[in-house]
Amino acid sequence: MLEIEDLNISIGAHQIVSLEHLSIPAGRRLGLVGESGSGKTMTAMSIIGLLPREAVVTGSIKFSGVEMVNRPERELSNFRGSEIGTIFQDPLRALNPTMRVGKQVGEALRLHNTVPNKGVKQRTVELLDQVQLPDSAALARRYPHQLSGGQQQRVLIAMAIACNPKLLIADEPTTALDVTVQKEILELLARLSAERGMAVLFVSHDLGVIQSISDHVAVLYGGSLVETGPTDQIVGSPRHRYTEALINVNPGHPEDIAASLGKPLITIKGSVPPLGAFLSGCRFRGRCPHEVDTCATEPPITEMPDAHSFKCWNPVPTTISLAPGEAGLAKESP
Amino acid sequence: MTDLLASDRLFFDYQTRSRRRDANSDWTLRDIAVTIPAGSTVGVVGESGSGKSTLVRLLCGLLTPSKGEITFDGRSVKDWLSEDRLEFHRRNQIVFQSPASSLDPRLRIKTSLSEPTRALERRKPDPAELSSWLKDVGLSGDVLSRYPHQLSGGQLQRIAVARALSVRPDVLYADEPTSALDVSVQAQVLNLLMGLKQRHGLTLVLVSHDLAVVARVCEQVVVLKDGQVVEAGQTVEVMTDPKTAYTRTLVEASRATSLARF
Repeated sequence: MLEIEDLNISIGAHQIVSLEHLSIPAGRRLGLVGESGSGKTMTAMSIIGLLPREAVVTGSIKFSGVEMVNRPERELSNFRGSEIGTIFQDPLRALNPTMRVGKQVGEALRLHNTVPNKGVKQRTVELLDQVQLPDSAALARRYPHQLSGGQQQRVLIAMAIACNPKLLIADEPTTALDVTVQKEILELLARLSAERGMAVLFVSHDLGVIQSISDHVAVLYGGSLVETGPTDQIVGSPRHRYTEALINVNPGHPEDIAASLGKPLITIKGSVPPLGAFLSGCRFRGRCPHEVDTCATEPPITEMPDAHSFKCWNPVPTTISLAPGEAGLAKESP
Repeated sequence: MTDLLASDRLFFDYQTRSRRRDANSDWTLRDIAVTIPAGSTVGVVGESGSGKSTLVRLLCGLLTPSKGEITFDGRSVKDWLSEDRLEFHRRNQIVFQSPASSLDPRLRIKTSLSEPTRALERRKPDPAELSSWLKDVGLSGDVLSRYPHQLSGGQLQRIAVARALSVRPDVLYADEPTSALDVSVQAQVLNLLMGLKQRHGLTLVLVSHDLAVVARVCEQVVVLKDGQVVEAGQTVEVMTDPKTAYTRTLVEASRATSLARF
C-alpha cells in the first residue's frame, strides 16, 4: 500500500535520509526505530509532505499507487487527515488549547465531509467511545488542559482515525506518557489497527515499545536503512551490527534482577555524529566494534527469507550454520 | 550499614500552610518514611505527579518540609541548613534531567564547573583540578573553554555529574538523569554513575520513571504513588514479588513495553 523507492531527503548540502526501499502492506504495523538524528521523523513526515521548506526530496513515495513526492500542497492536504492519520509525541501541543476537544474531533470530520453535518456530533461521541474515553459525551465538552496526558493522546487518536485512514503515522506517541498509560495506548493502537485493517507506521527510539506494537521493524542509522524484517527476527537474530548494538544497550526488563544488578551495561562507542559528520560507506563506521576494511564502501543490501534484509559487510553470524565459504561476506540468496 | 539519611512522618505541600483549607487532603507528599543507608543505591520510582522529584528536592535541602523531620548524618536537616548550610549542600549534590537547561548557556564550561567550589568552599579551583574532574567522568580538558550549545547531551550530562562531584559529596541525587538521552548514551551515563559510586564510595539516589533502569542500577527501591510510599525494599524482592497491586501493575506495564530478548 505504501511503497518508498530511492527516497533522498537533503537540506542544503546535507543528506538527511537515503532509503533504497521500504514498503508497508495494508494492515501491517511497521516500527521505525533509530536514535535521535537517524532521520526517522523526517522519513515519516516526508510521506505526508510535512518537511521543512528547505528540504529537497527526490525518489518515489507511492501511497495506494499515488505518487506523493513533490505533489502540490493542496492535493497533499486532501490525504492528510483522511487517507493518512497522524499522531505526535506531545498531544497537548497538537491540540488547540482554546477549542473543546469534541469540536476538534468534529473538525476532522467536517473538513473531509465524511459524514453529513447533522451526524458530526454523534460520530464524534462514537469516536471518543472507540478510543475508550470514559463518559465521552461530557468529555467532548472539555478543553485539552482539563484532560490527562493519556486522555489527550486518546483524543488525538480519535481525530486521526475519524476519517478511517488506511495508514496511521504515529511519531513517538507514547514517549511523554507514564509506563502504565503507555501500555494502554499501545494496546489501543494495536486493537484499532487490527479491527480496521489500518496500517501503522510507528516511529520510536525505544526498541521495547516497537517490539510490543510492530510486526515488522525498520532500523535507521544516519538516514540509512540498515536493517529491516519481521520483529521477532530483528530482535532475536539481528544481522546488522548496529541493530545488534541497539539491542545490547537497551537495559530491557531483566529476568534475573539479582544477577544483572550493578553490572555495567553494554555500550556503543561514542555518540551519534552530528549532521554532515557521518563517514562515507557504512554510516556506523567509527562506532562499530566489528569494522573491516570494506566498510569504507557502501555496503550492499543482503536479502534473506521473510523480507528480512540488511546492509552490512561483516554481519552477525546466523545461528543456522552456513556452508563453508558462504559465511562472512557471502551474500545469501533469498 | 548506618543510615545516612532518614525521614519520618514527612509531609510537604507547595502551598503555604495558611492557604491550606483542609489540613488532611492534597498533600504533595504525605507521611513519608524513608531510610537511606550510607553507600547504598536507592531508586525512587513512580508515575508523573507521584512526588518523586519533590521527595528528592526535600532530601537534598532544596525544599523545606511542611511537617516532619529529615535527618542527615545524625543531625536534623533543619539544623544543618541554619547552622552549616554550605557544608550540608557540599555533602548533598544533585544532577537534573535536562543537562542543557542545568548549565548556563552564557557561561563557558570551566565557569559552570567551578561554581560549586566557589560557592561552597569559597575558593577558585585551579586548572589542574578542573581537568581531573573532567577526566573522572571520561571527558578531556578540551571542553573547558566551550559553551554548552557546542556539546552533546551526553557530554553535558557528564559535565553536570563532574560539577556535582567537584565538592566531594556524600550523596549524589540524580533526577531522571538519562530520560533526555538516547538509549546508547543512557547506557554510558548509567555505567558512569555506577563506576563513580564505587570509586568515591557515594550514596546514590536515582529518580526514574523507568523500572528497567532502576532494576539494573539500584539495590533498593522506593515506590511512590500520589505522594505516598506504597512499597519500599530490596529491588530484587519488590520487582519479582510485589506486595501491592500498584507495584504489580507498574512492573507488568514495564515488562510489557521493555525489550524482551530471545
